Amino acid sequence: MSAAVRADSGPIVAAASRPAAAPGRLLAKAADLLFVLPLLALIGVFILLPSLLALGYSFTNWDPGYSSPWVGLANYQTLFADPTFHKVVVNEAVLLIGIPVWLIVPLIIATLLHGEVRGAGVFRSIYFFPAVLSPAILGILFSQLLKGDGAINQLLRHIGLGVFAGNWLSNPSLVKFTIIAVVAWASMGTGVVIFSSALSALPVELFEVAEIDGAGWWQRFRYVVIPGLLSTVRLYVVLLVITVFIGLFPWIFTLTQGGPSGTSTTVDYDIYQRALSFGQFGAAAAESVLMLLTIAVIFALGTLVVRASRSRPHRTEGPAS
Amino acid sequence: MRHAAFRTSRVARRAATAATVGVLVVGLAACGGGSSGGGGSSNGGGGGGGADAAHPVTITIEDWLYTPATAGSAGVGLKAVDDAFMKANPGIKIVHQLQPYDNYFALLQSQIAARKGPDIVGNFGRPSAFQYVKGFAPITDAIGDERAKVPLTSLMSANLSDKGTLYGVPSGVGGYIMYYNKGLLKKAGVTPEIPKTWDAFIAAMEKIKGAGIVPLVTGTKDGSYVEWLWENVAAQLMTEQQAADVPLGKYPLNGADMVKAMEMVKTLFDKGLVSPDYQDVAIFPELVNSFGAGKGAFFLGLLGQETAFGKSLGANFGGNGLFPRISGSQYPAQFLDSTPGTGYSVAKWSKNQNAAGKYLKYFVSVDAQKLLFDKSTSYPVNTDTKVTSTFPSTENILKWLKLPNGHNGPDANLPTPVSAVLSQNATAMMTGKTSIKSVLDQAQSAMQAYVKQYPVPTS
Repeated sequence: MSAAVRADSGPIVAAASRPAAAPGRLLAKAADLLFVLPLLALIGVFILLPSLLALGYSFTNWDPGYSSPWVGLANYQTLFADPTFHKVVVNEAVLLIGIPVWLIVPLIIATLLHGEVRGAGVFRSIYFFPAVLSPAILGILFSQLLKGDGAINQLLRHIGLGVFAGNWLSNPSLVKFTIIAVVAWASMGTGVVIFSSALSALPVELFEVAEIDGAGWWQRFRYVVIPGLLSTVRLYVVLLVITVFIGLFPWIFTLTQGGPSGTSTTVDYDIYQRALSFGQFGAAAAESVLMLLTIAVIFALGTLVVRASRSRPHRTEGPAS
Repeated sequence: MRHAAFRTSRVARRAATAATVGVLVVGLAACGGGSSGGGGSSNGGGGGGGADAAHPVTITIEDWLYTPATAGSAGVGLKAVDDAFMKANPGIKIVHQLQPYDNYFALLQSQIAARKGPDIVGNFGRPSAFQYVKGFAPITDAIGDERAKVPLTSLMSANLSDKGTLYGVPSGVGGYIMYYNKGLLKKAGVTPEIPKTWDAFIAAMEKIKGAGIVPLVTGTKDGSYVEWLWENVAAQLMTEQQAADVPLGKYPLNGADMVKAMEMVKTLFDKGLVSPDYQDVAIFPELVNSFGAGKGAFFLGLLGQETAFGKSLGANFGGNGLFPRISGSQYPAQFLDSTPGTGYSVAKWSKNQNAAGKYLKYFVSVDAQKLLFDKSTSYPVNTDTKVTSTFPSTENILKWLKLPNGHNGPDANLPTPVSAVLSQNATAMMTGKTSIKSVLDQAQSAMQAYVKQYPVPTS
C-alpha cells in the first residue's frame, strides 16, 4: 500500500501506515551493533578468551611458554583430593554468610539518610571514604589494628570490655568473621551511595502515602523501600557474590596470607598461590574453572528462586491502618 | 516533506555514527595489538665474552637483596662486587635491580614463561630451583676451575643436574644460629650462654619464664619459625645424605624421626616457653625486631644477623651459640646447621651469557667472596677465602663453619609447595589443633607431587 498521507492525519498514524524501509532498518541495526562492538571485543579478548583457554589448560600439565602435555582430569582429581582445596570450599561457604551483612547495613543506612535529613550528603561522603582507598592499604592498616596487642584490643581493654579482646586474625574460629566485618566496613559506603541513588528515584508519594496511613519507619522500610529497590538489591547481591569469589584477594593477601592454617584462604588467593608460588598452573586453571561453574550455579539457583517468588501472588495491601 | 526529511536525516546520522564507530574499532585494534617488552632484557653488544671498552655490553641482575643504601645489608656487599667486577672488566656494565621478595618468584615464573627478563636471576640454591631450571643456562664451563673451591655438597648440589651440570652458584653460606640477651639471662639468674644440650636449654628457659621474661622469642604467623626450629632438631636425627635426599623425595618427611623432631618443638609451646603473642608475629621483620628490642632471652636466627643485634642490643647482646644437642642425636657434638643461601643463575634468554657467566665466576672467587664478607658479613662459599673478624660472634661462626658434620636438616631445601604445607599448618600443630603426623603426611604427599612435576634435570 502506498503511503497516502492525508492532511488531517497525525504524524503517528501516518508513520504507522507507511511500510518501513528494509535497508534503513538493517542499517540502523548495524549501527547499533557497531556501538557495542568495541565493548564486546574487549570482553571477548580479556574475559571470554582467557576463560576458554583456562578451560583447555585445565586438562593439561600447563607450563606457560613450554610443552604442556594433556593429562585429562588429573588436575581436577588433584584438587578434589587436596585438603587445602577442601578448606577453600568451606571458607567460601562461610564467607557467603557475609552477603546479608554487606547488603543490609548499607541499605538501612541509606534509608536512614533518605528524605529530609540534615547533613545527609556529608554523612554519605564520610561513609564513602573507605571505598576510595585501596583494599591493600586498608588491609595493611587493619592487620596492625587487629593484632593481639593492636589498637582495637587495647581499646576494648581500656573500656572494660577486655573479655571481648581476641586474636582476630590468628584465631581460626574468628578470622573469617573478622574479614567479613572488615569488608563490611570498607564496602559500606559503596552500598550507601548505590542505594541512596536508587531511593531518590522512588516516587516521594509512596513514602508520603505510607506515612499518612500511619506506617512506622520499619513498615516503610519493609513495604516501600525493599519492594521499590528490589532490582537494585538483586544487582548488588550479584556484585557481592562475585566479590566473595574473586574480590577478596587484596584483603586476604594483606591481612592473613590465607592463614591461620588455611582457614582464610579464598579461591582467588589459592589460585594465585598455586599458579605463581607453586608453579601448579594446570591445577590453578582447573580451580578457576570450578570457581566459574560455582558462580554460575549460584546465579542459576538465585534466578530460579526469584522466578518462583515472582510467580506467587503479590501482596497488594499496605500496612494496617 | 517533514517526515521524509526527518527519516533521511536519521539515516544519515546513523550512517555517520556507524562510520565513526568503525574507525574507532579499527583504531583500537591497531593500537591494542602491540605487546610491551617486559623485563630488563639487556641490550646486545656482541657476544658478551668478547666485550671490551670498544664493544660494551650491559648485563642486568635481579634479586630481592640489592639494598645498597642500607648499612650492613647484603646490598652493600653486592654493590662492592659489582663495582669491582666493572673496574676489572671495563667492557661490561652491571645494572643491578631489586625486586620485592613477596612477588619475586611469581615474577621469575612470568619471566621464564615469557623468556624475557634480566641476564642473571637470583634464586635459592635448593631443589626448589628445579621449578625454574628450564629458564637457566648451564654454567659449568663458565665457572670452570672455581667450582673446585666451592663445596659440591649441600651448597651446590641443588644447582646440579644428575649429570653434574651446573645451573647456579650460591652467593654465601646460610645457616641457623642461636642468639642470646645476656642482660635478661643474668636478670633471670641463668648463666649467660647458649646451653649446650636440649635438656639444659629447657631448664634454662623454664627459669627465665619464672622470672617473668620471655624465654624464646617466637612468632608463628607465617609459620617459618616452626620450620626453623624443626630443621635444627631434625638435622641431628638424620645423616647428611638423608637430609640431601629429602628434597629429592628419597627420604620421607613423615617418618618417625621427623614426627619426633616436630613434637620436640611443640614441647616449647606446651610449656609456655615462647612469646605469648606468637600467633600474631611473623619472622620478618617483627620477630627479628622483637629480639633486637630486647623482648626475649633467646632467639634462633640466621647467620649474619649478629652485627645488627650487636648494634641494637648493645651491652645486652651476649653473642651466639650452636643449637643445643638433643639426646638421640646421631652426632657426638654440636654442629652448625648450614644451608645453601641465596644464589644466582644465568637466564637462558640472556643475549650476554658469556659476560653473565664471567660475572658469576668472579662472584664465587676469593676476591668477591672476601668483599661480600667484609661489607655485609656474607660467609664465603669459596674454601680458599681467608677472612677474620674482630667481632667475636662473627669469629665464632667462622670457627663453627669448620666443624665436622656441618649440614642442613630436612627443611632447608624444601620446595615452596611443601614448605607451604608446614608453614600454613605450623600454628595449628603447635596449638594441638592439628596432628603433627597428618601435616607431615600432607607435606610428604606434596613432596612426591613436586618431584614428579619437577624432577632433577637430566642434562
